[in-house]
Amino acid sequence: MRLSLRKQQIIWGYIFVSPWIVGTLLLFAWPLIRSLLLSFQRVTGLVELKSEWAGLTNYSEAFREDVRLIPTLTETLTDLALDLPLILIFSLIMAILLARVRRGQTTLRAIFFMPVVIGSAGVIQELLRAGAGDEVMMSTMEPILVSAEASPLEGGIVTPIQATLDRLTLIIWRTGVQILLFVAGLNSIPPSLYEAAYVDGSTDWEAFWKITLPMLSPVILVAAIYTLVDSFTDPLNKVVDYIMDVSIGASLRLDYGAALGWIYFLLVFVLIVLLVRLSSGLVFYAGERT
Amino acid sequence: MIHGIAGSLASRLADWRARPLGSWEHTWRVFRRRLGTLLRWIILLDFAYIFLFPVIFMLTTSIKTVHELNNPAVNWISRTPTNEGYLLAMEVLQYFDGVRVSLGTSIVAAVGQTLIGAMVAYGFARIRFPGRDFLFALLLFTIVVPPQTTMVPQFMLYTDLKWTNTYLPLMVPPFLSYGVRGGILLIVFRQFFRGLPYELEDAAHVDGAGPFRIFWQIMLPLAKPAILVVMLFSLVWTWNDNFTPWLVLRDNTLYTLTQRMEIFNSLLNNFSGSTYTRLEENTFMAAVTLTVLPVLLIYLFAQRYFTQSIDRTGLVE
Repeated sequence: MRLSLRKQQIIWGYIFVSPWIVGTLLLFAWPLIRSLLLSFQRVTGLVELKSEWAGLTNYSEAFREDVRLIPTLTETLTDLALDLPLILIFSLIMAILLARVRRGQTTLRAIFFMPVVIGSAGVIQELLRAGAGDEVMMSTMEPILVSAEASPLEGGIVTPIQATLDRLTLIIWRTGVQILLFVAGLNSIPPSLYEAAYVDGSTDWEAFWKITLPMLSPVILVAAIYTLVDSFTDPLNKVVDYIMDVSIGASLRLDYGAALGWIYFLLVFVLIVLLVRLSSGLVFYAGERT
Repeated sequence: MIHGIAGSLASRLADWRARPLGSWEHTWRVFRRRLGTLLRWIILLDFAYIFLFPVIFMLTTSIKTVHELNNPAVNWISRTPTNEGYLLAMEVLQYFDGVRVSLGTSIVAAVGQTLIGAMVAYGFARIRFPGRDFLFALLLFTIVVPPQTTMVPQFMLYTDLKWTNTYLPLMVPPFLSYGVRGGILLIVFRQFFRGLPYELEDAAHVDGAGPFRIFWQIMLPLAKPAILVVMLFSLVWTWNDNFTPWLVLRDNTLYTLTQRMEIFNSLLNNFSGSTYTRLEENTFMAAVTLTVLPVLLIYLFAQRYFTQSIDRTGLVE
């Protein structure tokens, strides 16, 4: 029997995506359901993994008794609220500077991507422990800081500035992918738009706000979501650290770890939905998109 | 005569007044543009230094002698470079064994992820079948779930499958495009395939090629830029992964290079027997350098094609 063309196509479609379906069912959906169930249970025997139904006790423990959870969550969220705009603005500025460079652009882009290659987390973490973070900004900004140190403002101002600079270094090292996205986005804006604007007497400043930013807005959203997701899975993230500690650390509380994981996931999910919703009016899609 | 001079001056003045407008402005504009370029380069190079800093720091610290480490006058370049840090780090890390493990898993994972991922993404991009949009929405959903949420059951799954203490958990999930990173790479491929003209497939179809053949012989060779980008990302991510290996590898002779680097201090103490050995920073930086060296070399070799490919993948359209 010969199948109709359309049916053949449907079957092929499923064959093509089947590896992903298998992966999602096996490694994502099933563990996700299992962790949801586990979060409502209490593990009584670790070896043979016996557990009994415990209702909401894990969740009420998390919010009522856990002294570490809420502070860690608020700390992570405040950090994120500070870092996200800084990362986006910094990478956008770097991308705009880069996009105008003709010779040497490839090399510079390769350099900006370097921190991503040498270690999304591990190596950078070790370097920070070795004090690399304190030095990099200090050596760039030394003259300014030395003059501040000599002035009567000493102590009061230098320490917070130094703390901010250390933080900035870390942020800068995290912008490799975002710069890459923005440069690709800038290169995809048709030059005719700028030409038309300049013929009509527009300045660079106006062109940035009226052309670059709207045309780039979908990329900005993608970069924002990437930054969020990336920081939520970053091992330097304190919540991640805490969840790992609870579930596979010394206490080995699999049930409570699962509950924490779900609380964390719901929070991340709400934040991303909020981000997409809030930006929906600001993002401009040129042409028809499906 | 005087009239003549005054007349010629007057006419010169008139000439000057009637000069083609904007010649001063032109000079000014050229000057401003050059100044702009200069400033731009100063800023870019300054930041390039910050981005390169980790690498410079690693390399220069690793060849300093212990004496120089404590000498604030030796800022960057060692005057008496030493390789003892490297020699010790190589032995402690069991370097060649570590490279074999890390490179083996990363390359297998990257090749599998790229080929199978391209196939899946092609299905999502070019074949119409019911439920496709729902499945793609599900794919986007999988990206936002932190791996820590599913970590414990995943560990149970690996235990049930008897995959603990094997490298399968490092390689099979990338094959199946699992997780945040798998999802992102699928989107890269999908975007690329969506940008290719439909006439290619139509022509091949008319000539009697089936969907798999169209994918394998026509679309995949066209996807070289996307393949390069995905493969490099996959390789780097698997190499640097410091989550899954800790979950499944219990036996420390199986550890990946990244793991060995993270527990370098205790490895060093085991290595030197019962006596406590102080970990000198040059040794440690040598270990860090050795850990990233293979992947850094691959990147340096591929970076020219990599940045060109990023533009051609239509990543952001």
